[in-house]
Amino acid sequence: MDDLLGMGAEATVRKITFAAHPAVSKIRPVKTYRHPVLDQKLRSRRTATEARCMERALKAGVCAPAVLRVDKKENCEIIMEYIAGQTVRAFLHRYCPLADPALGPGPTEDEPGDEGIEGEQEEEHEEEHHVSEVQLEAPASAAAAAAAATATAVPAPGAALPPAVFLSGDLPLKERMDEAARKIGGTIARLHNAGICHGDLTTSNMMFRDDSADLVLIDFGLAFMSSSAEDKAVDLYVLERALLATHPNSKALFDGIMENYARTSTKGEEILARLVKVRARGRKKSMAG
Amino acid sequence: MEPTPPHSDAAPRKRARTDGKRCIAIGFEGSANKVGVGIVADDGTIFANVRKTYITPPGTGFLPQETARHHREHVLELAKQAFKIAHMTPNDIDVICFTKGPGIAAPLVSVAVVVRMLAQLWGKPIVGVNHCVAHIEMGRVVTRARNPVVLYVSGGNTQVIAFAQGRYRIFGETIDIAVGNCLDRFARILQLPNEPAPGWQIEQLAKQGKQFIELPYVVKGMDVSFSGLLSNISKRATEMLAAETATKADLCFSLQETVFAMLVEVTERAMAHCHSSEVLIVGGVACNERLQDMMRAMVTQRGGSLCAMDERFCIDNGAMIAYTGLLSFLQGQVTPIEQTTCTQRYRTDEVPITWRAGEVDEPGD
Ligand SMILES: Nc1ncnc2c1ncn2[C@@H]1O[C@H](COP(=O)(O)OP(=O)(O)O)[C@@H](O)[C@H]1O
Ligand SMILES: Nc1ncnc2c1ncn2[C@@H]1O[C@H](COP(=O)(O)OP(=O)(O)O)[C@@H](O)[C@H]1O
Ligand SMILES: [Mg+2]
Ligand SMILES: [Mg+2]
Repeated sequence: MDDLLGMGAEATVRKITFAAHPAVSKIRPVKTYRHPVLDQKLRSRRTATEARCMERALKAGVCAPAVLRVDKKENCEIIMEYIAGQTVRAFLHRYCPLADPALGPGPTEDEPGDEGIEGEQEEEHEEEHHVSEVQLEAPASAAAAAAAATATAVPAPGAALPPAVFLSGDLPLKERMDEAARKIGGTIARLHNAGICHGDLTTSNMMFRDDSADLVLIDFGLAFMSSSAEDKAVDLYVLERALLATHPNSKALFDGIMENYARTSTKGEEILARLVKVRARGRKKSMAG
Repeated sequence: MEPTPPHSDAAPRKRARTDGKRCIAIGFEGSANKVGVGIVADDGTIFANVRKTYITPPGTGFLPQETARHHREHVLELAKQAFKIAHMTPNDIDVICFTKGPGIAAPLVSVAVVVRMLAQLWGKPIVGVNHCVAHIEMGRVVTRARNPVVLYVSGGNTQVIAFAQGRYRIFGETIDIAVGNCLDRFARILQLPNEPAPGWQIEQLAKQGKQFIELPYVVKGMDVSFSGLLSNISKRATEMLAAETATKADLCFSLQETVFAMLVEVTERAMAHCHSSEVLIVGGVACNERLQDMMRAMVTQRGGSLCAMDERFCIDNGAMIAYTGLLSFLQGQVTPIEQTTCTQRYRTDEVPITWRAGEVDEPGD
């Protein structure tokens, strides 16, 4: 199963070849633990939502994989553009030091024990996969292809560093984290500006492209359209908690993300004020055991 | 849980009994409507674990002051009972542990006051314990789970937790009410008895449910939300029962199927996220067999294992407080008497897990 890209939570994600190009097949398999009616509804609803929101995000100038084919019924499968890159999680694991930069100088970036990560990732790119394409529908629509082209063409606003320097160059930690915060904060703001909430903003659901270092959002299964500040604040709250739980020393990074978010968001002030309320609600409920 | 003040310069000194005997702790729990006393040894042996639950009439919840009165009335009798069952006296005890929080203020304080008094009477040190951490540690020692993703589901809390960098980190939680609270409030609407627990009553009724009614299903990342679902089902319940389009059993069945599917889903997300293959369910709602079966099915599908929790230790109890207090006592930590206060808000990730400090995290992606 060397073509397996990630042991996802709800989906099986594989690298395949589609119309002679590397692509990704994301299938939501049946979950036997839940009621079959609920299972069918969730799987097909999320497949449809994911494809729709990915396309909307692309149109709004947010990088996301281009959708190549969708099967909402039987398989609950999406075939999408393959992103040659790394998850933000892998990136942070490699670069985010053990001490919070906000609390003073941390250890050097070269934490031992992380060498394996890069190696593992590289292997994936080299694999050749042959998947029968007979049963697959018409390949990439012109619209999707055009969208894909736009996606790569849209420059991350404020991006100052050349991609190679950002991704693997010799760089002071703070500069690298500032740039990461710029990319992440700006992207989420543009997504929200377009009325899309991601619903599952974790560092496993964001990737940096190898070539352009653009931030690509993936995994839109829980995404939805909304214009409310509350929904957007909850989106940010989910990110905050996932980030701090996964990377306990990333408080400064989160603050940087919010700063950039506020700069790009059309309703930044209102949404960040709302975030404070959502957080307070979270604290209040830790009242009982 | 501050270290002993006299040795403030260095790291707290680890404790061990010089006479080769096991360290023994007594623990007092009273953060909600249960008051419990347990006596345990450092290897997890449980000598006694007794409890009394404050039960209110169907359709009503428990109030802080009345619950506190209930605890005051029973706590000393429970302590006597525990010593009797354990064949011990206060002399056999090395440390007294109590729930510092989180919980409801009045009942928490009613037990803390008794603990302070007993500590002075017996001349024993005190250790304050985080209730949520206690649920987790009890689960780990009883099931021998090594490093599981923990689903903590009770009347006051719903959290998905994993150990990372010295603490129990909260990866997901409810963004409004706890799942136990959701079940309890719906049980009240149906006027189900509160004995032995409202959630248990729902579980029994759900077994007869035939019809699946779709309810709002809200998962956001690894977080869940139940309040919209609760108001939806509460409103529809009255109408559907009146029109006889659904039975109470159908409603309980649909409620369980929906909320447990949400819980299992976020647990699976956390497993994927943390690259973990073990799951432990703790807290009162962990008693529910449907939840356990669903979780087992998910974990099996992923090739992992579910650490089956013993029902006796899921519901709040004194033994879990004693055992967890003992873990920090053995690291040299005691709570000076002037710091034996309670706190209603006390998050799981606030507590440095000193007894697991040496463990190295498994790398991510
Ligand atoms: N288009 C893609 N290109 C490259 N890798 C991908 C792509 N989509 C997903 N992945 C990888 O697979 C993992 C799981 O995919 P994801 O869509 O997040 O599934 P899940 O919903 O199960 O979390 C991701 O974390 C990422 O590493
Ligand atoms: N069999 C069961 N099924 C579902 N819920 C249950 C069951 N047994 C107990 N509960 C619920 O567990 C909760 C109490 O959990 P517990 O951890 O003891 O308390 P607390 O949250 O008050 O500290 C209550 O909401 C109760 O209804
Ligand atoms: Mg994902
Ligand atoms: Mg509890």
